[in-house]
Amino acid sequence: MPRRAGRHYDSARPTEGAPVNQPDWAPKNIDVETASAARLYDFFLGGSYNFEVDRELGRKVAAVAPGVFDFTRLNRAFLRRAVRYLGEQGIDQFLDIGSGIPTAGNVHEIAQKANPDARIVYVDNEPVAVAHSELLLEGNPNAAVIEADLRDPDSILRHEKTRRLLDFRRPIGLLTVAVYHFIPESDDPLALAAAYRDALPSGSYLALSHGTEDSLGEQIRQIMALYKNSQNPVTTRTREQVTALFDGFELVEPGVVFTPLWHPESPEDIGENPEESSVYAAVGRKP
Amino acid sequence: MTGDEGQGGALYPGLADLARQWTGAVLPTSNVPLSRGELQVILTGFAELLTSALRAEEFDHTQAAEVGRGLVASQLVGPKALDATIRVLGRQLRPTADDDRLVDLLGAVAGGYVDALREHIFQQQETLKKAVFRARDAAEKALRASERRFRTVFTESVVGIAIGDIQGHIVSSNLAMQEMLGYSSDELRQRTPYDLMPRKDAEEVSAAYRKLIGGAFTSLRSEQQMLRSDGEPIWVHIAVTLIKDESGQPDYPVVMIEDISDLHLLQDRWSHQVAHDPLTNLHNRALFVSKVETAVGGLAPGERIGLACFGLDGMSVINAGVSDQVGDKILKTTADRLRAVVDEDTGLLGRVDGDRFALLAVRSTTQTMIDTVERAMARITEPIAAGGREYSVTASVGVVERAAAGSDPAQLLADAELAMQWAKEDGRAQWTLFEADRGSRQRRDFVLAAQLPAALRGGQFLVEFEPVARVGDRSLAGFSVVVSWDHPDLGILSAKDFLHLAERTGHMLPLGSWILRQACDQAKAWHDEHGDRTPQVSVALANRMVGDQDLAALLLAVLEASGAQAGQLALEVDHSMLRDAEGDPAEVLAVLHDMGFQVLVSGMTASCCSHGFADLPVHGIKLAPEFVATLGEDDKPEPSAERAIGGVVSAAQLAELPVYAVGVHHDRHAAALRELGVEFGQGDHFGPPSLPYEVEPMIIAGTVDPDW
Repeated sequence: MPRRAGRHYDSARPTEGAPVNQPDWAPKNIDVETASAARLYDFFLGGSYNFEVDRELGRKVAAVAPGVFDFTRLNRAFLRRAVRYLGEQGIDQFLDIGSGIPTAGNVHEIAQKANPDARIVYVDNEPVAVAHSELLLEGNPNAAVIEADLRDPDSILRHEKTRRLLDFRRPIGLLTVAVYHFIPESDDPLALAAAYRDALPSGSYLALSHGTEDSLGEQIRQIMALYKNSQNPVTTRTREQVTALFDGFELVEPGVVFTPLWHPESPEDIGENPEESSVYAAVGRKP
Repeated sequence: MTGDEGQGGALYPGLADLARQWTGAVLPTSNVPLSRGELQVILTGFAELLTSALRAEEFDHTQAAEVGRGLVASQLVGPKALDATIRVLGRQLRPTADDDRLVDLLGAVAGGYVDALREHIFQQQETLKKAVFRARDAAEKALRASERRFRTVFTESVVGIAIGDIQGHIVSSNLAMQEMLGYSSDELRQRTPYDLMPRKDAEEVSAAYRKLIGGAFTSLRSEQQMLRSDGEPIWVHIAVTLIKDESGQPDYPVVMIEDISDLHLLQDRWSHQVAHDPLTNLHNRALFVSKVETAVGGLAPGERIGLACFGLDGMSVINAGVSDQVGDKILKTTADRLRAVVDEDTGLLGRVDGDRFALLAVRSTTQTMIDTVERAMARITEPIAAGGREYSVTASVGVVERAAAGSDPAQLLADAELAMQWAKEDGRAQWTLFEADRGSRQRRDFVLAAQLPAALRGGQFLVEFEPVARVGDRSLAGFSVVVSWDHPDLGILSAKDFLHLAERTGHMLPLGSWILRQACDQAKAWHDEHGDRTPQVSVALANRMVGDQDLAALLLAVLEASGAQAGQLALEVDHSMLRDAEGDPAEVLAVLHDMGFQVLVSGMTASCCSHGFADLPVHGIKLAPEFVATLGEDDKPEPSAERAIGGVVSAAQLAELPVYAVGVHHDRHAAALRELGVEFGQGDHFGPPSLPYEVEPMIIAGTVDPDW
């Protein structure tokens, strides 16, 4: 019997970063030396759940793009209105992916105020944000947080906590607010969106917001340049690209619009230049 | 919205306006989880407190400080929230307030606000710190768990694992590694992995390792030979990975080896299983055919080859009715018995299908092949004990024996299997030699069946009329419709060559309706011409048509289209269709009878009339031509045939039915049949099937012997 002696050398894997292929159970680094998107977001919202490293980058961002405080605040207000809207449509279970630091006006606060039995699963990939959410959710049996990544739908959809809290036979509100712009094209955001859509039952809703260069191009490009060195580089998308993420959903009026224009609660909320919010928002229903 | 101007207005004229302006000023400064209206309600309340404090006799700064705290509680914590508040309040309240009081008031609001904000920030920072600790704690726990897992993997793994130093010396090894190589932990510690390899492998691996350290690649994997302490070589799969430190510098290597000597062994066994039937351990069909190919190629010109296909009779019954285990036992036993018969040098065995074995013999003659087959059949038939019972199994065998040169192995097997089918059809438990003629006949049938529909469309079928006469005086009693196929390549084909194909392939209904239509058209034409002198035209209905639910509708449609009357036609139904499963007369007979057709039972032989005919709504009995043929060729008819025919005639006479004989070709037969009481006859003796114009004089003359 002839013996085969083959040999191959692995040169495909880059030498920097993890020295060996990291198994799932390998502990994750708790990195507070690099700015994180979640804590930056909190800084822009005026919160104090952030470190100097975050604030340092935050101030740099604010210097080149003074609108960033408005972008985040208006985005946060969209989240609040969207959750209320979904509640009015009878949605009582939510999956919030990219939930970040649990600042004031969290999804469970809004949803459970309207319906105390509403169930919420938060998802974030940043261990500190997850630990933070755990602290906040202690004693709330209808809300939970899991540490997972949007790019791994199975790890979220099949997570024991997701399956325990959410009933996938009834409509679910999926919230991906200000998170897809952290997904580069190389991670195929459309395929990810499709994977989540396919997992949702009919009658479910998707609420989504997404940064764009369509209006304040220069400011946004400056922000992107600065975010390059954070844990979460940014990819902006056009209105068409954002609309494409809603493939398989029927867009709720008024479609994909700048955040202040989505179901404003008063005329003053729209402001003179809604496009300067630099974030598109929309809600869609899966037929 | 919720800013209630009426209520505010009662206390302070500009209260609602103040609250609206205040809301508008602070809302953009902070992340407030409230709608504009909701915030305005809160700020209206605060404005009330402040205006009442402004007007109070004695200024109480705690109320104003509470408002400052309340702003923080409402999440108005953005960097510009206080600034916006002071501006709005200062401007709006100044016209009605004492300046000093206003300054005190704003100071108190700012004081309460800053106080609460400090608390707020401290709390958030505290929570954040807790969150970080919690996350680190979880990470450390995970790290410890991960170390435990690694330790477990290291010690318990069946893969040999060794951790080395940067020079490649083994520092620590696990039990699997020690056992695989036959060295103790200490013995391994003084060596490098390539010390344990044959020289050539060692050179390759050490060169590769140096490149690994140099950063050319991050890991290397290969299949390699290693030497155990006792000198025995083993095959291993080796993987070397370089662990790097935090700055990315090579730290130490991890070597993993897997003993794949067994795998090589397993691969051999596996390829055996792919080619062999696991139950009997014989070659499977694919391997058998390829072995036949090899055998054919190895024979000299002129040498012969024989292939027999053994099909066990009734295996499906045993598998379905008894048990699979018994079936398996029978198959295994049969395989063993065949093995005992086959000469290892010149013979080859395979299980080519579920209950089918094939035997190849090289340098055979027809005689040796048949001897072998008969020996094998005798062995197979011996009782087999299985499941507490004894089973006796027979095999039907198809045998091919021919010159090896130019034989296609797949064709050999296919021919043997075809011959085996013949053996089964002819009554099982026997062998049948493959005949090229019979094989080609069957293949021709398949071709004909495929051509049938096009032939019907192309008008290749022909209807002729065979005269039916009274046996006694040869007077004309009717015409029997005979169909033939004028095949472009094969010439005229008679019904027996193709009707069974039409039945089997589902073309009978179109062909049958076409024949009926021809018969009806002709009957109508003759009746129009000759009136009541026209005798009955009789058409045989194929079984497929008799069993068809739409037969009545079809007949009505044909009658209507042609204009013929039912009474002008006789329909022949095969004896096998007379009764249903319970033995009662088939309903279709009554239907045809009631429609006004004459119904004749056809194909009758001695064994067909056990129920008699008395209860059947029919008008006559037709004897099958092969039954008539049993009368024989001799001058003196076969007495047993006479008795058998007489029996059928008696049964018909009991039911007062006339008897027709088909295929009457000789005077002798006609005479014998007349003696036996047969009333009507058709066949060469009375005239062959002919075209309408050829038989028309018979109608005019009223006899099958018209004056031409």
